[in-house]
Amino acid sequence: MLFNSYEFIFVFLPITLILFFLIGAKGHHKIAMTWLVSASLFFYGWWNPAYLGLIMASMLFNYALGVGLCSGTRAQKKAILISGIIVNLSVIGYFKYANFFVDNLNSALESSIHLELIILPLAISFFTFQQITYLVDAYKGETKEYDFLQYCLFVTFFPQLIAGPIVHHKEMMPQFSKESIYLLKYNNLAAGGTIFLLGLFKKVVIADSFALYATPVFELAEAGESLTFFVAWGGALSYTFQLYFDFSGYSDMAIGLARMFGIKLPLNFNSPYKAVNIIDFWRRWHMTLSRFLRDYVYIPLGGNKKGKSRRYINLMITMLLGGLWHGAGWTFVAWGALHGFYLMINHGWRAFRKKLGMDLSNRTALGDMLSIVITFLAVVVSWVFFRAESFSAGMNIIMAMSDISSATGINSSNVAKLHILLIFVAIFIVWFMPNTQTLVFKSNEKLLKSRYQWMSFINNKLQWTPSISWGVIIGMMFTLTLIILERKSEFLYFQF
Amino acid sequence: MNSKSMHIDNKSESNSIRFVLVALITFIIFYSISLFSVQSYQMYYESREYPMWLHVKSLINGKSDVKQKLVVIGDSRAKAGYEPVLSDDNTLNLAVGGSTPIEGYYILKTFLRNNPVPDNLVLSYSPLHLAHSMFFWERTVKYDFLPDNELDEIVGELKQHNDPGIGKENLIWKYAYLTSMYISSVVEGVKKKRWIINDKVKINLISSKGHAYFGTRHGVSSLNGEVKLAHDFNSSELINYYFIKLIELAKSKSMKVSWYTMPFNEASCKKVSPELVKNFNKYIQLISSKTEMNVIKNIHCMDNKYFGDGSHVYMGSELTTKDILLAIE
Repeated sequence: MLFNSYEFIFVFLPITLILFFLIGAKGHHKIAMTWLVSASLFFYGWWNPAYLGLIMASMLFNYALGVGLCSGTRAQKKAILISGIIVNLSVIGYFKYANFFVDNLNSALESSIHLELIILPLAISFFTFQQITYLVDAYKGETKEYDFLQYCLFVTFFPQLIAGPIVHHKEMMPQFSKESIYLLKYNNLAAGGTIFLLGLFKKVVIADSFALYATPVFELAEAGESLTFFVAWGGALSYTFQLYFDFSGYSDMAIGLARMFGIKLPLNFNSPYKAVNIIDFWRRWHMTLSRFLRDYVYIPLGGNKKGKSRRYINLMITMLLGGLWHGAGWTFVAWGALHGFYLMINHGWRAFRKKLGMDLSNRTALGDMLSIVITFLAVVVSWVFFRAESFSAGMNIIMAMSDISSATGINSSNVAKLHILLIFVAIFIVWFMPNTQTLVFKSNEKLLKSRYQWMSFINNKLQWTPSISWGVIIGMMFTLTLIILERKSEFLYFQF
Repeated sequence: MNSKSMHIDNKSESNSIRFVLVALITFIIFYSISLFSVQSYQMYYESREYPMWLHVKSLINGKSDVKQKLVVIGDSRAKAGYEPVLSDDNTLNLAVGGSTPIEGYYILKTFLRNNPVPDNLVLSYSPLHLAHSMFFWERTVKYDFLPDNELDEIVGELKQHNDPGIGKENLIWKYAYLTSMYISSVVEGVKKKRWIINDKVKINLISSKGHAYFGTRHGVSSLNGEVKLAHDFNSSELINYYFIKLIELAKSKSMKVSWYTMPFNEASCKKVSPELVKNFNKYIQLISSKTEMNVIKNIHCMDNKYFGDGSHVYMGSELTTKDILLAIE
């Protein structure tokens, strides 16, 4: 079931919310939790009920290992952890990478090993990695014992089940144990509903509009058509904004939905296109994935503790794995490698400036502006490989983007004018407007305060409150979103 | 919790309740206005098919004492191919573009309820419109052409008889409650200023007694839909069911029922699949022998110069009209 579907908005969500609070208000907390788990499994099984068996088996297996990790000797625990990680990675490896592996093996060895196309179960990357983190933390003794029902809710909680944010058990389990979540709070409903609707608006109105421009350009590139400078940039920029508004819209919806149930999910986007360098970008983009890669890949590899050159190697390995996590394809590997390379340059540049005795905290408005633009352009280039169906299609677009001689004139049709206008509107939003969290959570002073006074001023002026005027604005945004919901599409991150 | 913080909490909760209510009320008001507008003002933004369907709807629902010698029921090719004004008698063209005998049955049924029984009925559908219903949702339902009970009847029949064009999912509720089902047409309509052309189409239909041209070029060699979309002919179960029901309804009122296949242009004749021609003619023959329907013409060819586009006659409409009138004499 999609968040941006009528059946979700008008049937599933209201029924799930109402019954959860009705049961919870009567003090039947276990039944309320069982209801929420059942609803989440129904939500998951909506696409293909056959996947339900896999997710339930995965939960049973990992919960059993988690219980085992709470007792026993260190050696026993280590054996359990290693076997748990191997089984989890094998499952994901089979479903996600087996076809890719066989295809590459065939082309390398000129063999003809046949493997039927394996359908990727929905959200397998998300729920598998979430459970691996649980096992690692249980091994480190950082988990308490929770009952199976709570564990099921931790894995299946529908707002974050399909595409994250990737949560830690320690962020979720204590919240599920709180009695207060079973009582309906209108503050949560108002704030959560607002965040959900802002996310829905981002997805349906903005991201899907950019898709109309991005998709044809990437299809042309895949077909080997030669593209002009402006067409290639138009396609690349459109995808850059499509992906951001799509995924941050999804994350907003997830955070908003969870908030309606009184659950706080971690922030997943913090205006990533305002990043002043690529390190900053990864602190702002898909923050829970970055955290996962840092805590469970980069640091275990040695992080920055084993010398400079090892640090760069670790960065590259982490980003290559990050690329592969997104999909079994060389374009994802290229995207990861590009970001690994960007990070190496960024760290190298910092080290170089430090060596020259420069103060890294000394920043100017002009310098920040330049840094933001350069970082943004680097990210745009990397998204081309992320989106392209093949490496050659990606290169086709990159070549056209760098071929200034083909910049012979901008298409003056109304469609092209609308496209350009849309790009400028998107640039204005991502560079000058507060993000959803800044807008809605007044309590988050850290987000509200900007380095620049004018930005803090905008943030404060646009601050959401449960007022009548905001009620009218949100009601109208909801109307507009539903009016154009016909072009229903899946979220880009579902495929990962 | 002290009383001050409890008071703040209560105030904040009541503000939130007010916010949720205001947002919901705003949504309900604006959404209702949007739905009402798109459903009530289709004439301003829908394609030129809309005034044609609307005109036929008003003809069949309007009460009249005028007895017609002939009514023609069919699709857009019939709409373009029969000109009632060329007849000295009272005749009407009740064809609508993209329709099938499903709509045809209800057109005749409603017409008979409000008008004297005509002497003759000529049916004319292209092979494509007997193979599947392409526009049931996008026109019949979206244009609100039939009343709810008749739509429910059709959906009920779908459980017994399949149609590859309509499918199994019932979309009636979407067209009834979702503004989004209309919004692409609204955008197109505004871009193309369709209200201007629709007004002209509406005026012409009244004077032409239901006849309308589609392509208006003086001869074309482009290909028709059968060449582009089909290699063979298989009738749809649902359409077949309604086709027979339509003929039986006319026969039960003692009407003389005839079939006329509108011509293909030369260019299409050369390219059309022989299997399609053979099986379509065979199908019409089968229906004819089952129902005693008179076949005026099977698939036949006409010079490209008579066509206004690949599918519809323009200069040739006088010839096809005379063909039909001659046959019913």
